[in-house]
Amino acid sequence: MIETGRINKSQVSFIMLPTIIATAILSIPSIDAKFAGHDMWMTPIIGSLNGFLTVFIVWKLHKLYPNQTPIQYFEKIIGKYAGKLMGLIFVLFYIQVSGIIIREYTDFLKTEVMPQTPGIVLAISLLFTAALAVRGGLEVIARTAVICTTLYMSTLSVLLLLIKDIDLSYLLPFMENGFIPVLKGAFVHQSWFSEFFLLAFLLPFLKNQNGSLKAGIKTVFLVMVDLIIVNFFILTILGMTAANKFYPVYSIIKSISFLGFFQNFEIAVTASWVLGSFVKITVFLYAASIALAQLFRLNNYQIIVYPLSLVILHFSYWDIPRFATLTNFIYKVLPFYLVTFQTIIPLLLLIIALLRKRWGENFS
Amino acid sequence: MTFIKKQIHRKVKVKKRLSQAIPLSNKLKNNIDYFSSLYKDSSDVIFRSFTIGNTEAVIIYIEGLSDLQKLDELVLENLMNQNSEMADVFESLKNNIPISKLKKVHTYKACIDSISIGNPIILIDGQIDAYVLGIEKYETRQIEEPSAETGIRGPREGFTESININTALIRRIIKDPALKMKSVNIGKYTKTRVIIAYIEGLVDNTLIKEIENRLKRIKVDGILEGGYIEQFIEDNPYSPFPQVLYSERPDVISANLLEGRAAILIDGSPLALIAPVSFFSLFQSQEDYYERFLIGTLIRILRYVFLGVAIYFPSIYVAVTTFHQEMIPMDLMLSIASSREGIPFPAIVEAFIMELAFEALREAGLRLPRQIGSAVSIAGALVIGQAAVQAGIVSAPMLIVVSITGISSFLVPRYSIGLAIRLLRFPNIFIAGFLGLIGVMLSFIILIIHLSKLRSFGLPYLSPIVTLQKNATRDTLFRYPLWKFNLRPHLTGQFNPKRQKDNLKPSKREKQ
Repeated sequence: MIETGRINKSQVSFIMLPTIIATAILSIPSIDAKFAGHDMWMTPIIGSLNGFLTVFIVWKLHKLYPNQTPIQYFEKIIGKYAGKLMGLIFVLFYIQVSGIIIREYTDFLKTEVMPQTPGIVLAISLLFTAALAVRGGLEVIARTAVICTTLYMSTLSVLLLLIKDIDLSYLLPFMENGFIPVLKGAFVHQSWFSEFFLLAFLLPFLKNQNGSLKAGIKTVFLVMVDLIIVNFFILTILGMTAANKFYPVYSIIKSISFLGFFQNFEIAVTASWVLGSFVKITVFLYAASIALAQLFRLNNYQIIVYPLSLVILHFSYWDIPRFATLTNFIYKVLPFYLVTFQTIIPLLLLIIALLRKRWGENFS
Repeated sequence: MTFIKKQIHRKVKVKKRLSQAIPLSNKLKNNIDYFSSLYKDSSDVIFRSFTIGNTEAVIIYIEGLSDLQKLDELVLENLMNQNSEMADVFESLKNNIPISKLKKVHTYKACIDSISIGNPIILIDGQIDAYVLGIEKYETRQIEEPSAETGIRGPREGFTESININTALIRRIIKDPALKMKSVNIGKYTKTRVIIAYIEGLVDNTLIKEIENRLKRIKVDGILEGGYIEQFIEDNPYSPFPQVLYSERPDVISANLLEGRAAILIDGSPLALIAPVSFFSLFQSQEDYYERFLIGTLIRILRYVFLGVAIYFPSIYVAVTTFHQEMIPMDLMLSIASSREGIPFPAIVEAFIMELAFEALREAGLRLPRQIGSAVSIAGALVIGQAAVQAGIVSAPMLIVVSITGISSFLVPRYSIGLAIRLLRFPNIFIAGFLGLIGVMLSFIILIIHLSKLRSFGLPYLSPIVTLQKNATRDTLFRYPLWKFNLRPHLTGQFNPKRQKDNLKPSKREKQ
């Protein structure tokens, strides 16, 4: 077994929560506002449907091939060579997506918090930290995630200080242009929810396999609630101007002023957002490392973590010349890209696996 | 070449002979020759020869380790007055010498062991046995109030340097025979007695085995303090965090034994080690349990808050004043800026100077004789205090930051983790000066990663919080009422989880 550590179900929730939210609350609301307008608060609800679907696919595949990661069962489902090829594509996919996450992180920090610090320093420091955690193994990732997620989620409570500023009239008109704009907004959301496919790399290492589906569903639900709250606050405070901002969450937190003394929370919240990004990049790096190690049948994945981090660092700059390119990519390409790899392909594979099982039974 | 080889060979042989259990000779002269060559140039080893009836005998003991009055009155007087021949020597000694601890040994090694702990041996001509008199007595410190762990409420007794007194202090608290004390001798020259104490039935036996194995691994010249043992048995030697707790209070040790942990007592040290421990047990003080639970909880939360302050306050100050000035409200910003005006150093240098000065002062006060110590604190107060500010070397806010940090590091009840906190402050200031709050956050994450990797005898260091056990916060972040502690702590007390009867809440009367 390549991973000796074992984690429990609640820890999985703690790992997956920031994995979706960390970048979701940053990049999506602005796109959401563009598409869905006054109805943006409900887009996560529809988007989360894909989350439930992905969790179900992962769980079903996990039931069919217990104690195996996707890289291992791909070979069983579509044959040795095709499976290997698919595994390789997934490894490259996760490396590239990790690069994009790192780039989102550095661009955000560079524009808002540390304008004079070179982006590469920020990228290297986060990747190094994540690599340390991944080298520690899944148990270390899980334990670190518990503390980081708790602190990260608790800082979201500063949004409560904004309650006096909300303007419910922004919620109207309801469904101004029908249901289509909501679906468009939800489409961006659902691609983020498809990242729940990462569960496939965690479920084989659960201490107790019972109830993993329930834990996954619960996590999707929590993510959905969090995104609704964030979207709701953005909509009711900024209104339609949210569409013109790169980081609407940052804008609303900037506007907090409490007792005339507690103001300019945005740096503190950004600092805590680093915790969330750390968990996110750790999970992606872990998935990429363990997938690559299993693809080449290495007997430990720890040795490839640092080289892999370096590759990811390259991917965070490769073909992303400037910030606008990244935004464009997130806006136009990423929704299709993420969902193809993390929901549609697994769904097809699941169908093949189920058919194989049925035919196999019939033949035997 | 061959000569050297021979020499080495001979040395090995001699060593072997000493360590092996070779039996005593039945000729008194041979035995005396052996011992006098062994204790040559040892002026404190006394050979007292006398006769029992017509048989020659000798008593060997070390001055200052044995009770001479007993030796004279109970042993020598009785034996020298004896005229008749002894048929069975041991039996007649037993009947003639009124000493409770009396045994016979057959080997040189056993004789040496007895002599060196203060039990005189009697060698009698014609006998192949030596007789050991259990009359060791040496000066010990009185039982005093534990000076490193004082408290308002709770027993005032502390351990001393003598291991027998320490085990007795524990026995006086835990009277059940399930309390076990396993003894090991460690150290080639010091032969220090080390005792593993635990309560059978509460402790996981594999833990005791593991501790024994780790103790047996230690092959050193000497053990002078529990710290020697600690550094040889801990799981992660490169960590700044203590993975074994120490205490000089019998009540603390007993409480830990009752939670299914094991204690390691070391002869010559008033501090007993406790294993395994978690990060959170370093923040528990005995008074948390002796006082009301609300106060205990409050104080515990205060400790965690000030732990954060002690590690991160200087670095956050450096980060904020260097990178994120907009975070500070305007009025405060103005007052900080005006006091920093004219200070030649950047905040990071200023912080380093002041923290180093503070640490130097603290260390100087600790090691010096008391008379000079006060002089140091006066000089230090002047240097770190007002003078530095008036001279324009450091700013007043920095002074406040350093003092608050200093005070908060004293809030931690265990000194050993205080040391780790002091150490961690410096890399944090450094990274805050380069990456601002983001750097502080990343260093916090690295700290958490490190703590997550640590284990103390297999127990995850951050358990039970990060492993998300049920009721994890009961005795860690908070201190629940005693009548809610129905179960022993997870992992250490798992072996026998039930601790007390249910429904012990005072208002709940049991139904008749």
